[in-house]
Amino acid sequence: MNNSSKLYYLFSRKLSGEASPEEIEQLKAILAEDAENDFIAQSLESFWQQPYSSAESATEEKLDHLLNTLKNETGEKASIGFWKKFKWHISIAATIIPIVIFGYNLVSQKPIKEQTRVPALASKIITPAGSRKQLTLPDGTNVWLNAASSLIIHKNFNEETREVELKGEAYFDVTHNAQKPFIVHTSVIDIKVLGTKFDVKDYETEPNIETTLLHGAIEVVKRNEPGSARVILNPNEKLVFAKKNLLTHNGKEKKVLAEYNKIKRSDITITTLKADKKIVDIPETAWMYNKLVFEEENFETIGFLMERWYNVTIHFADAEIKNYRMSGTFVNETVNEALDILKILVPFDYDMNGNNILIGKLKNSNKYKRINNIKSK
Amino acid sequence: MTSGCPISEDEILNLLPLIAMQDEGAFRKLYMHYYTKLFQFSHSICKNKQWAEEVTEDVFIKIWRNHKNAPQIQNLKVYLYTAIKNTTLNYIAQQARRNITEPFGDIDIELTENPADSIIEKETFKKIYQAIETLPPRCKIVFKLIREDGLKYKEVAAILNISPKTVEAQMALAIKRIFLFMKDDFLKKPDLKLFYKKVKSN
Repeated sequence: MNNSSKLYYLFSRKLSGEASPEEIEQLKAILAEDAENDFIAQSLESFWQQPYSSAESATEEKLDHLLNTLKNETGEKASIGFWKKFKWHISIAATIIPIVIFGYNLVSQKPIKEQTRVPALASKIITPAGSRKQLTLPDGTNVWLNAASSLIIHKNFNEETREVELKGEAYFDVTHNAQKPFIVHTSVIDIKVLGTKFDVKDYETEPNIETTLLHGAIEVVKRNEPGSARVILNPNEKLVFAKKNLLTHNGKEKKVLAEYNKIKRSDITITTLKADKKIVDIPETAWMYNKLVFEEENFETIGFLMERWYNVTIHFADAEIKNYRMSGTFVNETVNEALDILKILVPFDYDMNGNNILIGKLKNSNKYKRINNIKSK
Repeated sequence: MTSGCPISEDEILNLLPLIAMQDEGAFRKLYMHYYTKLFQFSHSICKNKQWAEEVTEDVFIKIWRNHKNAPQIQNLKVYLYTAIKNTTLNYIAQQARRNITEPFGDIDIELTENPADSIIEKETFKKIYQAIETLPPRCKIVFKLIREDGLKYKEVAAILNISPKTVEAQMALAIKRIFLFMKDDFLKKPDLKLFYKKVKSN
């Protein structure tokens, strides 16, 4: 057995709790010879010990239900038809048990607290970059407003309809009222609902309007085009509407033109969210819990997110860097800490001057030397 | 999670005679202790939440129904996992209307994801997952049972009906694959390693 196969053999025994004290000593000696192996072993060990999350857990309710079914059986045990009945009960148990409650996450986790009660009159609520708000509308609907966003509540809100105008991003938990439809107007599309939970994102600087439905049903219509494509969204679906045909590039600023009639059906895509993910971990809703989450996004998009999150302005000096793709979650990190962490994932350097951040290529690039060092070992 | 305080293996074994006397509290303890793990084991084989729930419930129902035989169970853990494996495979076969003779030969095994604390860990763990994803199904199920369920080589061997030597070889193979995968990745990201060292030494 050569040294590396010995390493794999011993290390797998150690992780599995099968290794003898002598074997652990041998392993130590082998790992001490190579820093890289040692690092991988350490990472793998912390991975191994990390508790894993489970989408499903044992619940008392399920157990109670099961026991009730089973106990009823035992009571009738003496009767002749017991086995037949038992089988029948099992199939009942099997069909009732799989019902899982949706939406419990909102209750068990605590989103942003800072609350504002909105007066019944027309009003505009604004959140500057770097801050987020939760508000309750006169009809009881709860709204979480993300950074750099504004929400206009129409004057006759809650009379015949409930209409609001959104710029930026907000999450709505709409109080059910079939008589008064709730309508969110974005720059191009309208979203009509009765009672439901969903997220809407429409920043002027971004090329898409997005809406993600978590519960209930919503209907999406292009404004000023009655009878045109209307889309009904199902829970856990996300609709992305490309504004790109309407955009004009003015340096970094992009503005929506008032030419709505050019929109084609192909501008709409619908995707399904990853199942089993908690509301606090998906990028579309994590912001409500003061978490900045991005998944496989390019650096340019992450830059937009960070600009709003930290109230900074980010410039890229290099086009290649804009295309780096990364995933991550930030909670309490400052903008510097966040950038320093990203620097470890992909090579870049940044300069900060007040609220302006310039991101460019690595300056004194000794990374190639390091690669050679590792190779030569 | 509602799994309550963990109970020792010895305590678990003492539950069996109580279950034989239809002690509800003992059955509760057993259920709360094993439900999640058994559900996940079933789910990793069939990847269908509803089936996995039904299979897991079925196995518990069987224990209650055959309560008199409970004290005869030699190795409870192996018994439960084997029951889950067989019931799940039967379930899939029923659903697919075909027989699956070679367990795990053509079944894609799914692993439970880790919540990582830091972004570095997240990145490292992601790599480890990618490496695990490339493992052959049997190797993957061995890795899962040992890591996620804390089973011993002998127990895994009994559940999967293979020899303990094979379990050992599969584990070593898994570790080798992960090491090689990570090494390959370091060539691309030298900074990651340096940072990790710094964190460790702090």
